[in-house]
Amino acid sequence: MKCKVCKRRAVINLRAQNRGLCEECFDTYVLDRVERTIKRFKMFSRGQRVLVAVSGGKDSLGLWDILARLGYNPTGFFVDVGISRDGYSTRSRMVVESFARSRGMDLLVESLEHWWGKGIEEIGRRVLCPTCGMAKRYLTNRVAVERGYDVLCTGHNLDDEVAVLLSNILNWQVGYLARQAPVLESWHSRLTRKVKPLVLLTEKESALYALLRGIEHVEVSCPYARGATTLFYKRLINQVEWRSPGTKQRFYTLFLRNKGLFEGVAKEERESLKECDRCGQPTWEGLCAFCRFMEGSHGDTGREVSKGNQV
Amino acid sequence: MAKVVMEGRVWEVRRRMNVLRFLEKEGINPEDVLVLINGKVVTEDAVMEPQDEVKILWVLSRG
Repeated sequence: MKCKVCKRRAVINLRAQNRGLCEECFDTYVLDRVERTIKRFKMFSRGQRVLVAVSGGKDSLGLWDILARLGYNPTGFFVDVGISRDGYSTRSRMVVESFARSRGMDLLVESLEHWWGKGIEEIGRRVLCPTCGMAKRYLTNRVAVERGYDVLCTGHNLDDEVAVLLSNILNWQVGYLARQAPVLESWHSRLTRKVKPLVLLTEKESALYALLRGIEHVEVSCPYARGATTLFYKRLINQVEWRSPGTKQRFYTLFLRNKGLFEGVAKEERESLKECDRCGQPTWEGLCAFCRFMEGSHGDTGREVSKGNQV
Repeated sequence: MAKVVMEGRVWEVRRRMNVLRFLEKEGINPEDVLVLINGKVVTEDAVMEPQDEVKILWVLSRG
């Protein structure tokens, strides 16, 4: 297959757009696509303080690289959750630190151990994965707000968003549907603005970008990962995509166009936001989910953690 | 014969074969993977020659 732009050998077949692209034109396409996404959804502008949550995976490191190349001067933020099995957290941290060093980019690192005196294996106990997600969201939000960043970027791609969307529709999680968006506005002074600049890039495109840019990333999943459902939905949607190219983007962008359907729920949630009695972070209850979990105030803490699909 | 590797699995393909045909034969969705022939990323219409080293990379994460 030839590149539709310059006729050189193509490295990817963008079936949804009915064109192949060579390495160079694909690079231009990715930068252009992300820049357009940032502008289309009014995510942020040059000169604003941008924090990028990085895990060591291909998507977040790729996003960090793209934003730097586009001239946004992003700072990376890595949360060391303290997973000792297979040396996972240490390895991820080394990958992220090496990436930052090699590109001369600013990196912030915080650890759960530093904040709470123990890592996630001790904090999370029987419900490690949901607790880990909650702790990372909590700490990332706090650091972004307290250090004065204008916006927090995450590396969620189109496949991530579509898998969560499908899961939330199948389970009619109206609250999560109301909250799912490329931009999560700050409805409270202690809630950072969150954006997802890769939402219109497929996971395959993101993986190819990382490969072609020589971005070394953590290739293995967390040893505690149980994301089999998300993976199942991604594979399912990719089967539909193969049969009917463009389905993923249509499904997501038409959802965004119809987001008004959930505005009533979204408004209710915004208006009922208050501050956690213990840490001051935004919550819908007296104590935020994280403090509630840490205090074990409801007996069996295992049931207090949300198992929903927040992205 | 072409040697095809994917996450610990190895195939030996004795004759010329189109990448798409191979993926379909093995039940692999081209949307889920990237394919490299002799270190170069290729599209599904590329042909695997008997002496080629082929690597299939899984692209989906658990999200």
